[in-house]
Amino acid sequence: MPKLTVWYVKASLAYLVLGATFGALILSHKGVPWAPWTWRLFSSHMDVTLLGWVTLLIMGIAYWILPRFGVRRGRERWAWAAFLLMNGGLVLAIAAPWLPHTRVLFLLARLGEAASVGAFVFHAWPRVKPLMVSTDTSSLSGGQRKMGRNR
Amino acid sequence: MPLVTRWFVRLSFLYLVAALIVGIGLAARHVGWTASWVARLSPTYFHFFMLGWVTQLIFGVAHWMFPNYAPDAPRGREGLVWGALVGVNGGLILRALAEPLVGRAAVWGWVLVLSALLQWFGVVAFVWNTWPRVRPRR
Repeated sequence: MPKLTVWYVKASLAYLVLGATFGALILSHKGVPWAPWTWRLFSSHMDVTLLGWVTLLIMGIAYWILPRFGVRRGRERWAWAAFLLMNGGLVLAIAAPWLPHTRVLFLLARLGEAASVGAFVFHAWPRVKPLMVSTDTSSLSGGQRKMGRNR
Repeated sequence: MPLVTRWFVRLSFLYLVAALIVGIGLAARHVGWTASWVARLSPTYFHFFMLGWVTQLIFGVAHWMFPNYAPDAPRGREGLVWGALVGVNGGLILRALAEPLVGRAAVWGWVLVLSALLQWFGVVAFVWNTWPRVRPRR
């Protein structure tokens, strides 16, 4: 597992715990009202679970397992930029409901999240390609050659 | 494929089916074919989908495929992962039962609190076990 994938996956697990904590606070208040402020966590709950948990996990695993170019993974700096932009956007989205200028902060958060996705797509696009396999089948048995044709 | 992974994956399939059935009920509500209380299942629909289907499928596959923890305990403390399975599913089922009934009797509100605690515990138990398995190749 490459170092950047470790960062992506650990961040996604941390966002999962954060999203579950927000959700548990909201749901408990829905059951037995004790803290109306928990409803202000609602948008953060959705951002953190959809983008922080699921999307960062998918990005991290994709960075790891998509086909490479030899030993390199293509535009690696763009994948790092995507990680930083998504985290910046999510931190802003979590903080926005508690700060002045909430709408402006939400807009900045969305811009960061969208830029992150754009950067990751730019990184991953050329890696979505067929596996590079040798076409020299002279050393293979008849069965193996047949399997190769069916690949 | 470990036993707990099989449980996660099969349950995730069931939640996908259940989510879509609830979704049909919600859509039917808009044309007056189902009772008004069905509208209260909207959060259940989303959580069956996101936690029951997507997250449980990820949990199962991650537990199976992530790098080994140690030679004598390749997948860490399996008891925590079984705890995650019980917590997430117990919490989701209690939620589906209690959410339409909250407000009718105080007990349903407390059932919802228990559901919140179980789901939270399930997630934390899984992350606790998985965290040390997320590491670069040695």
